[in-house]
Amino acid sequence: MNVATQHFPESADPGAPPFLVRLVVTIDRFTARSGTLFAYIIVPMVLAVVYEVISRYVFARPTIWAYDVTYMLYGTHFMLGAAYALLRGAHIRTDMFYQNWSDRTKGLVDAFLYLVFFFPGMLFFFLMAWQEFVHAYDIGERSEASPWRPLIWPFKGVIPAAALLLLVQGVSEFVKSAWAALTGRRLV
Amino acid sequence: MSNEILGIVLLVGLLTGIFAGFPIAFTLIILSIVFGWIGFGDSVFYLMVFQTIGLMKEETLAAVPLFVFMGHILQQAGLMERLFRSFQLILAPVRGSLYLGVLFTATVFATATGIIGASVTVMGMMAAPAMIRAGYDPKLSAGAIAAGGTLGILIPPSVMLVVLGPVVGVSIVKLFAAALIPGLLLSALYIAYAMVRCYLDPSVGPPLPREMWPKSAVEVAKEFFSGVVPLAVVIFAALGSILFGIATPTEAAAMGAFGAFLLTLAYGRFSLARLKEACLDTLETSSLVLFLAVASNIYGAVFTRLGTSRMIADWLVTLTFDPTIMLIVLMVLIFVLGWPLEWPAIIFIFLPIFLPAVQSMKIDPVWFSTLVAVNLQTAFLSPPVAMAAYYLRAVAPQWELAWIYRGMFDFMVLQVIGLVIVFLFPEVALWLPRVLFGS
Amino acid sequence: AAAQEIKLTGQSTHPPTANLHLIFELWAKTVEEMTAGRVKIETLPAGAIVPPFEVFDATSRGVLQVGMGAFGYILGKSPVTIPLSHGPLFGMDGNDFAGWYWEGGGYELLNEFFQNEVKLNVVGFHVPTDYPQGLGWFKQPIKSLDDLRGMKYRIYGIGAETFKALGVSVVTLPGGEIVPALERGVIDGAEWINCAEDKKLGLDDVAKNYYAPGMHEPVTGGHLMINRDVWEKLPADVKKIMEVAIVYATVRRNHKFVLEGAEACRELIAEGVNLYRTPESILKNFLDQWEKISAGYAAQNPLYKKVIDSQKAYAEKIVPYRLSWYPDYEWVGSYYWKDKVYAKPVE
Ligand code: NA
Ligand code: NA
Repeated sequence: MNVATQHFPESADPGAPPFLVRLVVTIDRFTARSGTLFAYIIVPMVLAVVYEVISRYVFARPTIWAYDVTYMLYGTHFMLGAAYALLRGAHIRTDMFYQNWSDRTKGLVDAFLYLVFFFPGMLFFFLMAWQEFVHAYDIGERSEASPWRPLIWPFKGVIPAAALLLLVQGVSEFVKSAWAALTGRRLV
Repeated sequence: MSNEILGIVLLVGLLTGIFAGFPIAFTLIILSIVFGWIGFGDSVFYLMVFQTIGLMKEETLAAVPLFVFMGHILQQAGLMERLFRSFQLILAPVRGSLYLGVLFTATVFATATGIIGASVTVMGMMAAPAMIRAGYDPKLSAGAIAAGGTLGILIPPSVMLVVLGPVVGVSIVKLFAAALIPGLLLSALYIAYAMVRCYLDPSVGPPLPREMWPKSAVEVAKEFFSGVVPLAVVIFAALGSILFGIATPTEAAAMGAFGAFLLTLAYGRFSLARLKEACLDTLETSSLVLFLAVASNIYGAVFTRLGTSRMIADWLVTLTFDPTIMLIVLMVLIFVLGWPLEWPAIIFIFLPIFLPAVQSMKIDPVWFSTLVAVNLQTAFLSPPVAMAAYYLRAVAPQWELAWIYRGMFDFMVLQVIGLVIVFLFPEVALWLPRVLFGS
Repeated sequence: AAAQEIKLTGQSTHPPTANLHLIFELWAKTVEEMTAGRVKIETLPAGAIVPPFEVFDATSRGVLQVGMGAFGYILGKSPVTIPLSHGPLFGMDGNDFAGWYWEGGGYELLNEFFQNEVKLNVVGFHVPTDYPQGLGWFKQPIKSLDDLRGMKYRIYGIGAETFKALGVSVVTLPGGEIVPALERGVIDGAEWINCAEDKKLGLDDVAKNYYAPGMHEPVTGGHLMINRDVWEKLPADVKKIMEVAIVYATVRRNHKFVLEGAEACRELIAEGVNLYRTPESILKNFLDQWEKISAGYAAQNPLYKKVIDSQKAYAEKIVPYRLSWYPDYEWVGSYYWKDKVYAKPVE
């Protein structure tokens, strides 16, 4: 049920321009697939931590890497998953008024707010995070948390990547809301 | 327009944006950027990145996806709901048995972890479907889960007390001891309230219909050992590993997820397709919960940087009151600030300003800290920035946010009653630390 | 020109009651007094605007105009932070170390470090403080490195690196987890700062054997930073006042810190804590191992080598001189106070 089957073109609005449908379907499929990939990050996270507990408690030999691996996987997991959550409509809304609106009104409000709230916010998020990432890469920054001291710039790269994924998925969400605003119908 | 006034406009903007129904996380981010930029320029953009990287490095928060994963594995295997169904079956004639189950489990959760994102989501996953199926009142159910889930921030161990201790200059361990009884007292108040409501009006927590009652003690025992015990063992083993010093909360969450996986194997409910679903559901839940936490942190930081809170506090300090009145004013202020803000912004900005006044009035710092902590717990329950409501909504989409808010309101009233009790009877907070550590 | 009011926002890496933060506050207060209220600096504690580990970057980017932190928080940016903040210092103490900064070429190297090594857009002042630091709290007494090897020990930075290399089970934990973890037995020992600071954290409530000194941090190199763009726009008199005020605030606060440490140690002993001198063999093992690790850094990082060479050259002048000329602290101290020494030797 989790793969976005409702986004396949068969259900698309017949009156919609095909390129628009194709754009939305392509983006949604990309986010669903990349999201599936990121979802599996939880598995090594569990295994790493369980290994640490056993290694420390049973053998009194804590690992040098588990701490860094844990927060790096955790941070990567939820940040990269944010675009998938957007696709799934999971980000919480205050829907007291929203839920009583027609599809057209919802589309209108959403399309407007995607333009003035979402895109500028995420664009700045991307640009600034990119600069911080480049700076970290430039000085070869490492983690300071444990004596293992792994490189940390790839982890900092997760933030611009997450912002980019959100921007891409945002395009699809914007098109869907704009279509609903214009026609009162769902695009896909 | 001065920065401080800008902060007030930020609040108004927040309310408008949030009630237009746009995803809260993105609303918080853009408002922080716009107002931060007007208030203090380009550096607001970097502020956003620093807050994000900071949250991503919080190893303690890794417990959120791990506990959520444990929940989704058990849910995929149909074991999660089974726990509460069995619980209800065993207590078939009792009105509101599920409230009892929820609040008891939430209290145990609270004694093991201090991360409310994890406890509200896991409690929601476990109990919400069973409560809906049993025809429980959605408002009271949501309120019980949300309020029960936030007990973790008060009952030790608690991240909030760890931050609060050094600010007030009280040993964290003493604060832990001081918060324990008030925390348990609140838990008892919650339970009493839910049970009284059910007693007065059975429709808010109906007992199981007579025809569904277990036929014999054997059936009860069977249900207990097959439905309750195995899952309870996994959950309590995870939490117990914290209490018995085997693991930190993050580690316990991973052990719980691993244990849940073993349990699905044992029940023959494991399949790769189910694992995939559990992974995807976990990604969805924890991304929205933690991304929202990022957004809320950015918003709190911008608010702090604008200096609005300092303005209010500075103004208040210039007024002179008698100590008791001062303390009451302070408590009211913290309570009100908890609506738009979360606890870190309040602890960092307000407390340091009021502390000299509090110290000069010879108010016991341990008692004072406990009052603050009980008060701050309500910040999670008060809209528009009410994280507990959002986390619950994330795992129980059938419940409207308006119901959740309504349900939480009653528990906030209980919270205030708890606060008044600690205020009138300081011994509630001071007795245990004195017994354990001397005066 | 009419004196214009200057308002700056600052944050530290530490909680409000920590010594490092108190120096920060005293500095801001002194600057305000010396400028007759013309300069006002807000001194927020850890986490108020940015998380503690981001204070350096945030000051560089202008999110904070002023930052106060310890280099341990950016250890990952470059190993040069180690000799620039805490050593081990070739026998120098916190006072000699400050001497190296002012008279031994330390500030030139610090500038080079900020501009070329970690590329932070800040102007910085060295704040030697919180010295010296203990080895930490243990549930069971320790007599040798072997005892330590059997324990799960929470320590940070080069302490963690060196003890790990010596075969100790070093555990990494976030700050807030230390006390609950030690209380419940997830770990058997933990290092923090000294009697006064550890008491604030409540470590004395969860363990009873306390050892001093350690060799991993003879001094904590605190650091006051001002964003370079902000700094360059400041009037010359304000710049000088800020510089003078940080020396004043550090010296004044450090004297208090010694007094508070002495009182706190006595209180700890009165409430039943066993305060021990760390066995010398552990300290020797530590330094032997650390010098090997340090040689590795020096081989890889030219600035690291430059800094420790400079420190060694300075220490070579100062330490042998002090050993030759100053009265032996232990001898003359014992002459008067032999019966009053707090810490017990490990028998
Ligand atoms: Na707790
Ligand atoms: Na709130």
